[in-house]
Amino acid sequence: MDQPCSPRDVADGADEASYLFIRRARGEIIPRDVGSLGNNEDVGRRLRRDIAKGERVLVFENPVAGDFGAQDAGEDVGVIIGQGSVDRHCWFSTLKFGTQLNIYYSNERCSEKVNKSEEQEVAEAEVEDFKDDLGPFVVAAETTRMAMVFTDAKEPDNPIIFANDSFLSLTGYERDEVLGQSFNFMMPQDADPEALARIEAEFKDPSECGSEICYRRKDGSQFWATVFFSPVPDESGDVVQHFASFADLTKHQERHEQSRMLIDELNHRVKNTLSTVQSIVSQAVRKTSDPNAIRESIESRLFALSRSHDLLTRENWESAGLHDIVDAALEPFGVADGRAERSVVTGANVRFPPKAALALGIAFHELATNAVKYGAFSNEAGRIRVSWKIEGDRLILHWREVDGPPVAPPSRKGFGSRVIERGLAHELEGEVDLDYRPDGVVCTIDIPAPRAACDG
Amino acid sequence: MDKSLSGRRILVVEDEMLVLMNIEDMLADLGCESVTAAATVHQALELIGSQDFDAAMLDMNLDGSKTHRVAEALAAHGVPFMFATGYVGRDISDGHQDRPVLKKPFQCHQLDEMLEGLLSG
Repeated sequence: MDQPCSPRDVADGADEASYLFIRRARGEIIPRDVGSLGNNEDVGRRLRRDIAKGERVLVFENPVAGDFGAQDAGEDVGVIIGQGSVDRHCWFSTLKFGTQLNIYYSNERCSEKVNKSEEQEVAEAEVEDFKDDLGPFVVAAETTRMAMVFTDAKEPDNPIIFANDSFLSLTGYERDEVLGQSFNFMMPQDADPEALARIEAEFKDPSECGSEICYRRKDGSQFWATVFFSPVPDESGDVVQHFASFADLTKHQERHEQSRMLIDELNHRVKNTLSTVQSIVSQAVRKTSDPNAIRESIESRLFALSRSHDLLTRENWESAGLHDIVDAALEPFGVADGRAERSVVTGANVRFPPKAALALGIAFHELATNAVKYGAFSNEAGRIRVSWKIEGDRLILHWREVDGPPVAPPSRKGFGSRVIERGLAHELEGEVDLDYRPDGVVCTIDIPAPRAACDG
Repeated sequence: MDKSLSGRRILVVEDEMLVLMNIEDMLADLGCESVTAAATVHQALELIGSQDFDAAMLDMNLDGSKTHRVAEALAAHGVPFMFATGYVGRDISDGHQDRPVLKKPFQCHQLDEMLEGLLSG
């Protein structure tokens, strides 16, 4: 206790270790005979780990029974391993088997300086240790973006003795919360036994492709990582550490999940579209046996469907504006013969969700087709006025044809009127009235206004 | 055409108008005069509560709104039913994995066979 030792003193020791290593945990002092620890390098490693875990470590020189009695179990005794100028980390890394240690202890509290940076220093000491063994590779391990840890292979549960910054940012833990913890400390409470068994197997016999493991961050959130294991042997070939690197699969998993959802959704839409096409074909062949008429009937509706799809694709399949839907339905008829001036569409571009937009697209297509064949677009003077407004939570739309030839109700209801009157009303949960007035067709569509339109 | 469905009351829960029209036509071809259609979960539940049906077909995904409530109501009323879906394999409502599933698009004879199965079961 007279002289602080220096690193050199430690290294210049005699050929026998003569100290006892004790640890105080939960108010108890647990003596351990150094002889059971193998060699002094193990002692150093164990000390570092215990310190890193925040446990108090006391080291006595030539201890006698009275030394333990002198320590009050309830007293907060600082960790003193050497004193004054002793560089503990240097001390650890130069410990060799058989070294005579001149170690002093003190009941004084550790200086604030030591306390404050203890974990940091310990962590740095680990790195120094690794640097001795591995040189520039340690720098690589410290700075790489891949999360990495080293574990102590000689302890049960493979406690972590080194964690790089990437590991900390991946997991959300501080370094002092990680060092000394079991390798599996981030496994969820209800961890899959199969995953635990795989980790166990990887430690024994690492696979080239690693193992995909689900972990829990400090904040409780889960992430997947592929963990690659490698044993680190000492000179004699014994595995003293394990190296584990973590390839974060979060982004990969998210993308995978997203693409699976998109494929599911796409498949759903394709199947529904095929069912719609099946219906269009079926209606066409029911109505007539004239191949040209069948083809015309099918094609015009497929194109109408296609235009609605274009409209929705431009809007990321989120919605389509009513004005755009009406324009798209009239467009193939309006472009020819200067009919564009003969149709007037007035109303806000109220957004409808995709399915309603498709239904409205088909309905307006049928109205326009009817107008071209029998209504306002079948002569030179007829006009079509389409207008709508929101009334409360309803949207009321009027399709009015004027100045066309005299209108007579159809002798039997065809596909068009069935779609408009029944189909649209059914799909949009509204009321649709198709009135074949002599002076022009009037169609009134009374449907729930899209929620967004009501809100503002 | 097979007219074995004559006199049967069928509930079709399907929200796509063109698809529904085709199903109605198929059922008419199969001799079924009494087809009731619902486009929403709400409509379907009201109909199941107020009318008797011999069988039902249920689109598994009514514009995003899961149809398990309708499936439960049908089961509670003892109405045999099948699912219709464009999805592949999965996504069957919990507790109804044993119900037959008609994959869209489907042909008239497939609909017929499945309805026969429901009605004879």
